[in-house]
Amino acid sequence: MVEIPAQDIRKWVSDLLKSGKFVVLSTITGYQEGDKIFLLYHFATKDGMVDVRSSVPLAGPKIDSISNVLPGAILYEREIHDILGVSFEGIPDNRRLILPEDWPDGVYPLRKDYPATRGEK
Amino acid sequence: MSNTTTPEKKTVKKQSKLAAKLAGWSRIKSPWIIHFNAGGCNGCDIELVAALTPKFDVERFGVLLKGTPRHADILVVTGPVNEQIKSRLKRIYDQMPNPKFVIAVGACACSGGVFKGCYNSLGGIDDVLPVSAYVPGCPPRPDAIIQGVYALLNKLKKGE
Amino acid sequence: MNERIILPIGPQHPLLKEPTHFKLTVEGEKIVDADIRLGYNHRGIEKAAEDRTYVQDLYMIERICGICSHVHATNFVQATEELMHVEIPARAKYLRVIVGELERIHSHLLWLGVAGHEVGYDTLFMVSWRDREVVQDLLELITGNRVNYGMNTLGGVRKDLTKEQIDEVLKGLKVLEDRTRYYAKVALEETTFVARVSGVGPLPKDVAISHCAVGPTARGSGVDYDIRRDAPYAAYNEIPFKVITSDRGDVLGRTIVRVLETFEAINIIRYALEHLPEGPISIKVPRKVAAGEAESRYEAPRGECIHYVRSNGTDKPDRVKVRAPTLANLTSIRYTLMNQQVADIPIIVAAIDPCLSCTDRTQVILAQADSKRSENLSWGELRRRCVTKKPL
Repeated sequence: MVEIPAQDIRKWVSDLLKSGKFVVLSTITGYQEGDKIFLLYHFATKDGMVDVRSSVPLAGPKIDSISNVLPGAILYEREIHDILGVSFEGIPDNRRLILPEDWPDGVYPLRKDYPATRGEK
Repeated sequence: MSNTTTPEKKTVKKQSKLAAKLAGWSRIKSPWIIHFNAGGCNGCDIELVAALTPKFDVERFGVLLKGTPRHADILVVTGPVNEQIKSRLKRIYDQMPNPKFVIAVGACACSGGVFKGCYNSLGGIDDVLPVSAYVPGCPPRPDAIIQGVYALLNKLKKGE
Repeated sequence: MNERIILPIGPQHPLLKEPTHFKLTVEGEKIVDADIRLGYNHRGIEKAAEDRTYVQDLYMIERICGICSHVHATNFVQATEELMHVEIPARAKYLRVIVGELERIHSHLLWLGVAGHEVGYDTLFMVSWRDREVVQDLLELITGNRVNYGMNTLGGVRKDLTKEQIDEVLKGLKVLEDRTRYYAKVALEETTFVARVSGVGPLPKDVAISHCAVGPTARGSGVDYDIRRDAPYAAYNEIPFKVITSDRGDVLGRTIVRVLETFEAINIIRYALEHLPEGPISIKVPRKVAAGEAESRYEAPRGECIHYVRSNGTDKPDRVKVRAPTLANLTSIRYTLMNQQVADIPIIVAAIDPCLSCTDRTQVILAQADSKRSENLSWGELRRRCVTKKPL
């Protein structure tokens, strides 16, 4: 597990890719803890997983997108944008990924203030 | 102008009654179904498609899986409906010619199944369409699905 | 000036598949750009998992997908067992492998039938699904259900194998092996099938890696990565097997990988049955899980599936994250569709073996320059035109 500050993520990923080693991004996990949203990048290499953790404040969640250095990251970033409300600066495509078309803006289901179970009708 | 039915009108009435009977008979003997996956896990859908394959072979009963709702008598729905797909499901139903029937296959289509309570799942297709038959199971075997279709047809036969 | 044609293909279409919506815009016969949109199968499982206990979650997560249910169940259980710091008995690990590989065989045969149907080869569809029933019967014999096996529990597995069941499985495997040899011959040598898939949907190795493709989609382009060998889980570190790759990079390459993987799966099951260790099949585990985080990866029939679980000391997880393999392969679909013919769309999309219930609905919008003519095609109509190769 590697912890790096949010502003360094793009450079860190670029350096990793430039190293020439075999690297595939498995996914990006987003989760909220208290007043922060954590982003966990799961990289798979031939020597095992390299997990990179960054955090952004809940009040203004913004981080650089890594999709321009690693095209395979785009769907994972869009998903986190959709369900957690994190903004990825420089992301080439910012549309909704999985929530319905008429889902209200500003409502992020994976944040802790959203109920996990739908009430009975 | 006479108020009683003329011989021509009587013949026409008899013919349309016969046609209706014929249509009803062929509907029961050879129901054409259309399948719609309303956001399910695929388990029920695969079992439904497996019913076409040589081991179960519904085609020998006259059941054909059609590609368009305009040719179908029965709409077979699987999966827990979600908000996004609700309107598409209704549209498919509206495109079917009358009389039409709906079969809910699988626990999810019947009542939401294991996904009842998830934020994007409704509780089964009852809220969206009038259901004629329910086939429970997770997923129901192809035999159970075939039996469900036939239970519906028997009900129709008795109703006529 | 070229005419642009828009083909919206609705979420309802004849055979199999989840609600999929395609909106294609093409220039003549060529696809010039592609777009991906998801959403129909989204149920809200990750969030609901936070409100249910680990055991309840196990049964819900198993039903993320009806084709690879054992994948999700095992992956979740492995992550949770790591959080609990427990080591499950060796026999349980082997039993998980046996059910997992049987699932791989059924999934690849299913795919072969679907691929056959997409290129208009319906006989292959009927015959491969008939033989797939052999695997379904074996799975029902061992676990009690054809789909959603319920084999796993926290701490091991729920059902053991008797001597009679082992003999039945070995008999079934012999039948499967003969039939798969026949399919290998058809898929790799039958000229009409090969002509439809050879050179179609090319994905170069470096693009596969930069687009983070996984599974047979990546291995069909020469990427030599398989979780079972490179990060072994369950009993894979004790079972010898080959990782299949192909340097072709087209749909035929992906077909070769899947067919040969079926043979390997049969061998793995045989080895596991012959070397099945004695002992218990599960151990008791605590109800509350100590705070922590764990991830688990599994080589599903479609590629790498990763689960990540965070616990907070209670009997309910804090966060469950699932990334199923098809999402990883979707980015590469756009690349493989570029400059390809419209007639090849079904087989190219089918070549990543999309399991959208694992992923979500796809809306493919292929967009291009300027024109006005538009045409609505259903998926069935598109497939029909692909079979007859009728120009638009």
